[in-house]
Amino acid sequence: MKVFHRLVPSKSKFRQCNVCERYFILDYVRRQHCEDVYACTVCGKRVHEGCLDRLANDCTMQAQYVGGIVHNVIMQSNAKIWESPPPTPPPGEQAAAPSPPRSLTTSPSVLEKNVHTNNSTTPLLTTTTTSTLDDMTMYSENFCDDLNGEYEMMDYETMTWEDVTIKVTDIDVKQRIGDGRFGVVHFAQYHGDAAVKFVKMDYLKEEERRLEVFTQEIVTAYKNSRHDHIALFYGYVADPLTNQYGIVTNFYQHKTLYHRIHESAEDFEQSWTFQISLQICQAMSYLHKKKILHRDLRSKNILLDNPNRVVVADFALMKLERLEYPKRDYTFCIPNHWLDYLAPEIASNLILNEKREVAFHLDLPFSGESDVYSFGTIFFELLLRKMPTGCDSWEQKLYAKMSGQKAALQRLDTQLQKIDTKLHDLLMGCWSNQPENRPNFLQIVKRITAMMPRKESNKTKRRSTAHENPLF
Amino acid sequence: MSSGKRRNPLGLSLPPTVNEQSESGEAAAEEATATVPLEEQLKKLGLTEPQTQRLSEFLQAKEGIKCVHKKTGVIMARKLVHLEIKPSVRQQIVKELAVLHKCNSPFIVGFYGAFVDNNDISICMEYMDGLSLDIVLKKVGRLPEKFVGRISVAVVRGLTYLKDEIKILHRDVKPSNMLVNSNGEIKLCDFGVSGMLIDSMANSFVGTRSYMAPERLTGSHYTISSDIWSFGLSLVELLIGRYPVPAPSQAEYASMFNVSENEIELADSLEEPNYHPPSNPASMAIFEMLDYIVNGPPPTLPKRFFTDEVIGFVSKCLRKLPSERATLKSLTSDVFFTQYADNDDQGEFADFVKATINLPKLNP
Repeated sequence: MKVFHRLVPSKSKFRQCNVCERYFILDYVRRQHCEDVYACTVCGKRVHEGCLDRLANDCTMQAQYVGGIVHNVIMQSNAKIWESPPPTPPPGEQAAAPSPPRSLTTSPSVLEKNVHTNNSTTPLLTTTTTSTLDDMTMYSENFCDDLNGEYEMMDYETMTWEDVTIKVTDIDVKQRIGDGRFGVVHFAQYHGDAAVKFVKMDYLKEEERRLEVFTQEIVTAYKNSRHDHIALFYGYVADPLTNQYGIVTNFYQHKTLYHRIHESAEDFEQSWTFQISLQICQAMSYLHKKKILHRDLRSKNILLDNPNRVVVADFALMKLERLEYPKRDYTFCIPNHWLDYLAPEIASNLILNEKREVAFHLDLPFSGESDVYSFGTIFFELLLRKMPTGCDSWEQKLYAKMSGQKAALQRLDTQLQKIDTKLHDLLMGCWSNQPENRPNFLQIVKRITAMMPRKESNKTKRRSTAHENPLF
Repeated sequence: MSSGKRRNPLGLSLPPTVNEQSESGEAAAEEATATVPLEEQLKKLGLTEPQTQRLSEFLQAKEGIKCVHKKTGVIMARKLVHLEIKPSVRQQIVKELAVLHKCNSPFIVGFYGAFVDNNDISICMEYMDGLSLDIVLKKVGRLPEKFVGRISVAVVRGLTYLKDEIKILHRDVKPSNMLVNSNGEIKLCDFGVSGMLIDSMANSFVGTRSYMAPERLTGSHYTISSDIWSFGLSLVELLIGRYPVPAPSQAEYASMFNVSENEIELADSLEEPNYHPPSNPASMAIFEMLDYIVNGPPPTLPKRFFTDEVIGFVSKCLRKLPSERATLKSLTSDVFFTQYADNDDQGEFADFVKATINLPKLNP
């Protein structure tokens, strides 16, 4: 029996081609045979584009994927109940597409998604991602459209149940509410209040790659995140013509954790500190479980939904390449307080090339441990209500970090004595110079929960469940 | 002055090219700016505190930072500082910047006013048509010793003025903060005036070269000695045309001056026996660069390619221990300084600046 692979473009460099058995990284290093790499989302096989012909159709199904197919079939039959016209492939589309192996499913709309991004499908198409089951739950928005009679033929083709694409015309972008290093946040209307973060993709000079990178690196991460303390993802807008790439999320009106800690005059109790830390760690252990790194965990990227509830936002955006623009002589712009959150092993990888400019093409070694380091800084902010370093210059901050000084702690010693030694140990653990000595988020959750008085932990539970996922 | 420390908080780099079109009208205006003393220009503009707000309406943005005051035709440089802070803080910063009105020295860039415009703070300053010395350096490769001598005199006098008259330290001496114009004037800009501004800007960039003195990196108190180090490092950069960290080796000097390596004799440097240089100087981590400043030997100039006077002058500035370093006062009695202090170069430096204005940047 022939079982076709379900291939999507892949960025993996550390595997070898299942056909010719060359390691991708070697091609990359030698800068030869730099072919595109495709990976099967079902069995994980990876091949060069040129080796596609020789790839046997022997995909081994996994239980998860079978579930996805079943789900897909149910969704499609549901669609018919609502009297949608049957989906038809655009004429010539199937014939025109190159003949990479196709997936098992029979729906043309799904088929369309499995062909490579360089074919003639409309730019608003998403490429399906690794977790088929997860994709299935993101249908509610499109449901509404259909039911409201706004249904159009095109919609059906480009927006399937699992699609998280939002048409530019469907969202009403209003005033600017925030500015970040990687984008601008606007208030918007999308079946109610929403926030759109327009991500700057200009760092990619090849315009045609922007959509691809945006959907693969950013949308994929957001799409796979469903947690009570992660900013609720509605979908994304992408318009390569106007160079707009936006992540649409729920609108959180209580500003950022940074604002609450450093700019608001209002006091807060220690129990609140625990509660907030716990929520952040739960969200982060979820993200790590899903193999998503935050890379830019800062109190400015944590939003308050209500005074006692936080959501983690703006993950998966950080890349060293992004910091290259705007270009300036001898300096590069970083997000505010970035150095305070930066793990030493990452800071030591800010390399200068022979022209004495930052080597932006090298990616920084972000890891789960580096996210933990960043959390340590947030924990410090929550405990002491200040940033660990003052208005020192970047040189001083970097030098102190790399020589293993935790200068801030020495300076604030008297204040720290007030803090329980357990808290101090936890903080020092997160800030350990050796990544392997840092606890993971699951362990931090346990340690914080153990420190919390019982009553408090019950209260937290009640509060956080009070905000149900709007989908239900 | 607050305790804030400043490393190019404005993140400023001047535009690499000077406006070349519309030369006729502008040349006339520049002529006017050059001849009228700054103080009179200021009076003419009447840019006192409440009125600076209105300045934005008069300013017509030119390319880069160059602006023209519409009413009077005065050309000025405008820096835009974007800050994510409360409007009240922004106003406070503008107030602190008013100290700049007090500055009146031929070695300090003139200040016209500052105003808040939306989220940005605009700082209007005297326009220096030769731009900054790092840009000049990019155009000419390296500067002859006689010009570096003139620059040294101007910078030392500028720093002395700031210290004695305004009672502030510069905190950010480097070639890109030394501006020149076609009258041959050399002036300092971007010094640490507003502590609030420094605090608001803290940490929003990382540099790839640092002029910070070793004692500052390790966290000691800021003194005038730290400015002297930065000054010394800048002079070496101007003389050899490369950022001198890590210190150039004999081999590097040899290829720089196109001679064989044994012709290069480095001036005596303080030995750093325990220091192991970075393994691969071609690509070094930013941290390694900082570590080199703290633990490595300071840069020295090769003998015979530079006079003993200038070699002595920079080595007095580049002592690792602040207590051994020269002071502003001791520098003014140095042979190298007195040699250039009051002699008239017959407009040679002015001609040099004029010649560089239309030069393209060299390829690195």
